[in-house]
Amino acid sequence: MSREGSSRRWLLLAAAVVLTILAAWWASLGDPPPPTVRAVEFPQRMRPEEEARAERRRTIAAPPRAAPVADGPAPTEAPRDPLLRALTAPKGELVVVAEANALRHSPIGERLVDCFGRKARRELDQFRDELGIDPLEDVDRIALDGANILVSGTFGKARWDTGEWSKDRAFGDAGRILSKGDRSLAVWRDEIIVFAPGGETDLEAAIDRIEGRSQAAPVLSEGDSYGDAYGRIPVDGLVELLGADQPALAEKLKAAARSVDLHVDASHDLAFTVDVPGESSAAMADLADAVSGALTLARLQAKASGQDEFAELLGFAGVRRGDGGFSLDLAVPLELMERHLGAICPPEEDAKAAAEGP
Amino acid sequence: MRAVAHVAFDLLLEARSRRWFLALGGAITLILGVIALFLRLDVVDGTLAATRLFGADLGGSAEPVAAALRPLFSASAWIVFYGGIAFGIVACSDFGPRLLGPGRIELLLSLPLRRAELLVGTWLGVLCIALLGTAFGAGGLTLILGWKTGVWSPGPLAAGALACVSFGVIYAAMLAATLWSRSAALSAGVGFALLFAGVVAGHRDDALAVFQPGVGREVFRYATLLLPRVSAVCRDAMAIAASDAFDPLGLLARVGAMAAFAGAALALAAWRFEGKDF
Repeated sequence: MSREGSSRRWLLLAAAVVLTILAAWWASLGDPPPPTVRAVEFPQRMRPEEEARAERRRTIAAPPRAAPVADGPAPTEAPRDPLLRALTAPKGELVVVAEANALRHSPIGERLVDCFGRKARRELDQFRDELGIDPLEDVDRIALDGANILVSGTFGKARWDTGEWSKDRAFGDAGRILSKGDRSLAVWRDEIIVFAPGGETDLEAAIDRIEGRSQAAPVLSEGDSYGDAYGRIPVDGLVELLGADQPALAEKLKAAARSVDLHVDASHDLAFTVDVPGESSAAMADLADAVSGALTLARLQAKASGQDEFAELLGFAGVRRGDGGFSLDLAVPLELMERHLGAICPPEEDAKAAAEGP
Repeated sequence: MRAVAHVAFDLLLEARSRRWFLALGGAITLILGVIALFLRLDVVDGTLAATRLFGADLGGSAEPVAAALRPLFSASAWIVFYGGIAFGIVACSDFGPRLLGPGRIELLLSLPLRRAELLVGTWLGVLCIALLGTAFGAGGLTLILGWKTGVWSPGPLAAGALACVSFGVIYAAMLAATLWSRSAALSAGVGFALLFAGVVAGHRDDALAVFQPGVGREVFRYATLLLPRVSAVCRDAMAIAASDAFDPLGLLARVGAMAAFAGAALALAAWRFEGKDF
């Protein structure tokens, strides 16, 4: 081949490459903007700051165990977190702990307080003036233990005597039971307040658990206490929830899973992790596949039906398979929450201007 | 340019002399005839009859009727688009191999023609056949639907025009494949493979949603970036046919990109052709 022919061939090859690049660029102009997919940090295990937090909360000594040798001293375990010790869910009910203070100071918590706190400021101030408790600052954790509610925090300034909680009796080493008509609550060491619809018997049982006089084992261990909210959901409750829409999935869940653990992280986005441990690894693998398939299908349906925001949300969802179980990750990005909150709660300046009027 | 036009014209003459094309033309005519004779589209007739029966205008207008017929026009655009491309791939897959056939290629190369001109002329000739077939099929369908429904929409014609643009890219790739292996089956295979890949590329945004972030997702993103968005152009054709909203700038970008893809495939084919000994 002549030199001219050879150079013409190279020119044609170069033209093919340039035209392909041009075509790719041109075609991309007509494409919709790519969805923003960024990494979300899901709560998977205790982080160093959570380990330090758990250590700070070990404020009560464990009860002495039976001595192995008759004459020797009774060995003791390390001190424990009194709130976690109080949670037993005797009927296998829902147990959830919300790190109220961490949630309140999280980005979305700050925004929510800005939004709804403006409206509720007067009531909150009134509550603080009457009882000496600032719900936004003094409360550390709120736990739901079946029908009981436990609140931990700093309640040293609480003025129970100024209210109508007139009847006050001591119980256990550091507990008090206060009554107001037919209602009662328990306060332990000015650190934990217990509300129990079952009455004083349940309140006494809760203090017994805190102080180690109960044989009931705590539902959540210290190792479970990571994230800004954590807890255990009974499988039956979840099956009932799924039953109507996803009966097959509900049946699989009932057959395979022992329990369902929930962890929520709100340090930036709102990230949920649902851990599903199980007995049979084959059944759990099937269940993980079914959940993963349902997520993919839902994402495609949302995309096809033009529900782009929902499809974007499902884009953050995923299934992680582990030893003998799996974890389901779900997330709501901070930007999305702020966008929706912005529509409900305009910034303070706008609200002021709207209130003042023209 | 004149040489290119001559090659294209010769190809048209050759197509006319082949029974295969006559049979396919007859098949299109038969389908149009069946649609014309047996399709029950008495929406407008019914509206007019009701008006006559009650002796007054019932408040209906051509607009709601046209809206009711949108799915029909949309479906006809889909059929014209994909049917036209599939028809083109099957009917034109052996033009390239015949061009390069022993005896004929030597004759063509002995003429005062550049190889690139021969290639572009063949591509243009096939594109003219596709345009004629589309004009006949889509034009006939437009007339029949207009006659039967009373709603005159150029939708099928627009879909046909966009099908020709998409077929142009696919045929350029088929022609390039012929220069590696002189086989009509391979040429048709490449055509259908590119059609399928183009359908996937047109849905790349939806498909990306099911990929987890990582290497696989990026590979898919960049691989589909290099493909013509066939199904996206079909969606535009269906929207035009149904008088639905569509993004004209997006369509312009996709059509422009298809022209560039076709140019790239022809340049690659010419590069191969120039270096090939016969």
